[in-house]
Amino acid sequence: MSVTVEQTREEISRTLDMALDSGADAAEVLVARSEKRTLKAQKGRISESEISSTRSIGIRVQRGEQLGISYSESWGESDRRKMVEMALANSLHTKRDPAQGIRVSQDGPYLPDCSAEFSEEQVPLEEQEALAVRLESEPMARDRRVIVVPYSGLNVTSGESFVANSLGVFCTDRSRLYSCYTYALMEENGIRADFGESSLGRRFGDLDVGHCAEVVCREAALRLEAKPLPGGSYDVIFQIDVLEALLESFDLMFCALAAKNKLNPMAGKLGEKIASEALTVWDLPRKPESLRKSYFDAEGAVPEDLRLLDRGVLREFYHNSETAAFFGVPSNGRASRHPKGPLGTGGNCTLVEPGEDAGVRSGTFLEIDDLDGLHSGCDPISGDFSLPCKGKLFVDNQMRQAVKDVTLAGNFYRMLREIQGIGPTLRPATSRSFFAPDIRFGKLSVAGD
Amino acid sequence: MLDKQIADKVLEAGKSTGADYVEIFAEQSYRSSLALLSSEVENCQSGIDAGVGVRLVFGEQVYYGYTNSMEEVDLIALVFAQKRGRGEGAAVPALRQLEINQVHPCLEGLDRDVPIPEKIEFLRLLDQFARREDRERVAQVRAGVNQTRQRIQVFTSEGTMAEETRNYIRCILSVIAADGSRQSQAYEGPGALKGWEFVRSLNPEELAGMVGKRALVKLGARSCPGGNFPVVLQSGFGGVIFHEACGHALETTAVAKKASVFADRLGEPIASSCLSVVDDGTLQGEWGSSAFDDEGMPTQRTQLIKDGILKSYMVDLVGSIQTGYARTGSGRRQSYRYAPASRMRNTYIEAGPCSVGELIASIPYGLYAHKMGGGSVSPGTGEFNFSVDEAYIIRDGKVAEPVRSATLIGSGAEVIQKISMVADNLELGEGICGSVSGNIPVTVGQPAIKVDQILVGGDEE
Repeated sequence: MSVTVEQTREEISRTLDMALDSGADAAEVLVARSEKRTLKAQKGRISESEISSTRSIGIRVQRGEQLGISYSESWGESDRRKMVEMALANSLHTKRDPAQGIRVSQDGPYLPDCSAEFSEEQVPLEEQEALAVRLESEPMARDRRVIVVPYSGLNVTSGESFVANSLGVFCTDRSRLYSCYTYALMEENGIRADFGESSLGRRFGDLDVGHCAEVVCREAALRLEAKPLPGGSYDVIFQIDVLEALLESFDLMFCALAAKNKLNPMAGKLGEKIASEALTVWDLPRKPESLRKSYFDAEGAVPEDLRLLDRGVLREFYHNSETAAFFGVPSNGRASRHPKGPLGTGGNCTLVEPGEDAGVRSGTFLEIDDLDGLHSGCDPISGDFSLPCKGKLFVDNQMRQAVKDVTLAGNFYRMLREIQGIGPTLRPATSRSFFAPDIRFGKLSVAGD
Repeated sequence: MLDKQIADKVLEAGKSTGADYVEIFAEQSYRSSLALLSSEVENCQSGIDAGVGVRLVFGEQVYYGYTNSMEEVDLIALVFAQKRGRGEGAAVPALRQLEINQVHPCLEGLDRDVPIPEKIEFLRLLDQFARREDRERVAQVRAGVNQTRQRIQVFTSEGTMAEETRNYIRCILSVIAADGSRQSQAYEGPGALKGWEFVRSLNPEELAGMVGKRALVKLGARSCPGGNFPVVLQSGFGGVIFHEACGHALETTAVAKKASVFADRLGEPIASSCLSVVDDGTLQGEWGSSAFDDEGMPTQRTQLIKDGILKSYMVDLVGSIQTGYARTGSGRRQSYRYAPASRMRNTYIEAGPCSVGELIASIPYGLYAHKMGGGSVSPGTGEFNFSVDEAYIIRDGKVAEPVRSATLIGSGAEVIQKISMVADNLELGEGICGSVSGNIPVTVGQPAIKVDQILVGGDEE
């Protein structure tokens, strides 16, 4: 299913014309195209191989102050016409809101240079298969206590996105991402422990199987010795991937759309101190090392760097054109949308500024390297969370004990105010879309032994 | 949808690669969703998902490919992109349409849709009744309904042709209560393998009142204490404890890889003797049901555990090849974008002899989990967790004050040994389960049960 950029552009243009000819005042089209290969190994050979090629198209149509949405995975002219008709029919029932509308305009196509995000290399299938097999075999070779590597795999995903509207916007970008993961199950003396690690990059050579194997073996072995802690209050430092996941669970706090809809507990608090003054947080759409770059948002607006929290003071929300109009501020190019969904707001690459506390890892603290159940144990409205966790108890930066079978509970928004210290060294998360130093949160509640 | 003659040619192409088994899954799904927020229609959208997945099985090796195209040339190319054809291979038997023995009737699906203004009116009623609980403190209400009409075709190199149209509907209600700087939310999501007639069977006043009250109770609740307690889990969505604690570990997805704590334990006592558990894809009109599984096999009722003894796993085609166990019609997938895997359907603990009152009266100090949230599990270690959405302290055999932010964690293999009492009020609750073959509708269910000891996480101030 090979389709050129020009073909897609022509199909988009005809779809926009259909919408305007059918009575829309304005229309906007999103297209997402993806090609993917996945390889998994079991018992020393490739056990699963998957390839795919898909395209989705979504449309928003505006009629007066009403918007309608529809999408299709069928690309024939009649299918796209039906999609337009559905969107127009849907628009008749949505609320009238002067803030919503298709507003972003452009004088010509925006075709950013995506060469850094899309490697043209052709990696032979044999090399890819060999890497997939190593993801299973290396942990087992490193430590005989590894009884099975039930989940491992290599993914190569190439994507292309298009945003276009009837006001002249036409943007397209493309990217390719290589990712691999391995998850080892270890057993000794009847006790089982597990750990998973992944590696990502823009080139095949960026993938580090050896590192993944080393980490899963080391950490699973530590977990074999893990024990609960006595219940009580502990200072906590989250391992960076865990911190990223936790912040994502509460990123509603930066969402202007949630504020407009009375779902954001930080609504009305711009300019207020909501966190420790040691905390400054940025959203950086084009950080060079980031794997989540954004050249344009889901409306075609170009985003710039955004300081969300400035020394604990809430400075910005993520805005699209609708929320910007509602709040009477300029849009900051943070519209988010998939072809099949409504317009929302969201960020790109998050950076927490390093601090000056060289002693952030002094004394006694719990380093959390696993938080389960984030999808169900976090309440972004109240900020409450109660989550099972695993980690390590440190005293003066020396590990004393691996920890498991405990839960960590607290209130996220209170936690931000009670930061004890922020370290000086910035690190990337595995995703390379989150960068942060060590952050020490004070006195969180642990239930355990 | 997919022409039978094209399917024949794709199956032949697949067999020419030397595959032992070839399967085509074609799908066309029409989806519609409507959402009210701040008492206005926030979102009204619809769309069509369409595509084909082709699976080639060589012994225990699986090759899978999918595309949006239903053209013969693209599907043949998809086959040969996975494996080169040798131009030979066993001929494919003539395709025989499987008769549907189970029927899940749908009166008002998206092909006979109810006018949108009628749907909006129902959502407005939910909004009004929820706000009526406390006009000052109910700060926001989100009411929505999502419907899907999924048409699927499964063609196999064994000559099977199965076609089914599944109509799903789910009503979503979320209420946020606020009091000064404090906020809380509550949620319900009833659903069924039915059309709009399911919504007609709901009582909006009762549903909205229940959710509104729960949000207000949570608003005033103190933090849950942490520690090891006896816990009573109420019926219905309380069944998520078995789903997370044990269910995933009984899928051959995990068992075949020996990544399950229950692998190689058929016929052994794995649970308390008062526990019997069923996974049933035949329950008429239930959210997790279907006539066929997504491999074209008629669904079944599978007794997983009987009186504490492990009787069966949930077995899909590849799981059957890997383990030698007979298939149970448990092959499921979110869409054509996924190869199927063994998954749960409607999974429930069977009713027992006790009353709910007896369970609570047996506990001097513990927790009553009236409404569960979601959870997750690591099948390889058996460690599970789930959140409690509405909970109360039990004190001296009586339900006492409400508490919030409770999480239950433990080991699946241990917790099912600690179920000591099972009540007689079996109910089911709807949810979405995410795993290797995507997000699928499932129900969980149980009567109220008592677990003698489980670790409760809390943030008592």
